[in-house]
Amino acid sequence: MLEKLLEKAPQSVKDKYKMKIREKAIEKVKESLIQHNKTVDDYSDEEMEDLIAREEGKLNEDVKKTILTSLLVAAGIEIAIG
Amino acid sequence: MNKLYQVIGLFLSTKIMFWAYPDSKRFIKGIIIGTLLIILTIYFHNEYINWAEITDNKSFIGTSYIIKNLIILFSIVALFLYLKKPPNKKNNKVKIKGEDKIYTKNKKEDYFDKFRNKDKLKTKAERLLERDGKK
Repeated sequence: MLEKLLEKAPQSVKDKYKMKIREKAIEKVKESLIQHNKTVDDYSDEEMEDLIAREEGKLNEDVKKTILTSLLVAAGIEIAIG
Repeated sequence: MNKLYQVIGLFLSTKIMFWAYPDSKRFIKGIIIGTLLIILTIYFHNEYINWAEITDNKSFIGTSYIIKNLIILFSIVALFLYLKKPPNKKNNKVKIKGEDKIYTKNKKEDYFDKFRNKDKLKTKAERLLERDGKK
């Protein structure tokens, strides 16, 4: 659903979204490295790419969940109000 | 119900606009402050004129017009300069507390740039599948 939505969005918005998610994923990876007392040398480039890609996937899932929850809440309010 | 949808729509579209174009926040802020200043100036000037007419104290009315117009002119010029001035380009990279610990002599802060610049990152599974020719 999110992919379809992004396909329709203008290129600048798509790029912005991708950049934000990528930056957030890198932040998460950094945080986990700090937590586990690791350095960037402990991972190969492929492993690091895997870590960031996984985080990116998780963040995309979170966005999907948030959109779905908002839609459900809106529908719930509509039902409650009548 | 329609009103509620309008409010939710307005809220969401503003959020999306600010997220996609952070500069719009600056633009709207400038316009709102400028307009508010001009409206307040006109309001206080009107109040002063009413007071002057009631009390018959009209000696400073001419000066008040000059001051009012100067304030309005100053506000417009300030707003124009504020909108013209390029915003401070903040570095997109967020510094995390204790981040320096994860870097080494060979790999420093710019290490993550190669991942930032890649179009699509692949997980280990995706790479394996690609290697096996299943994807």
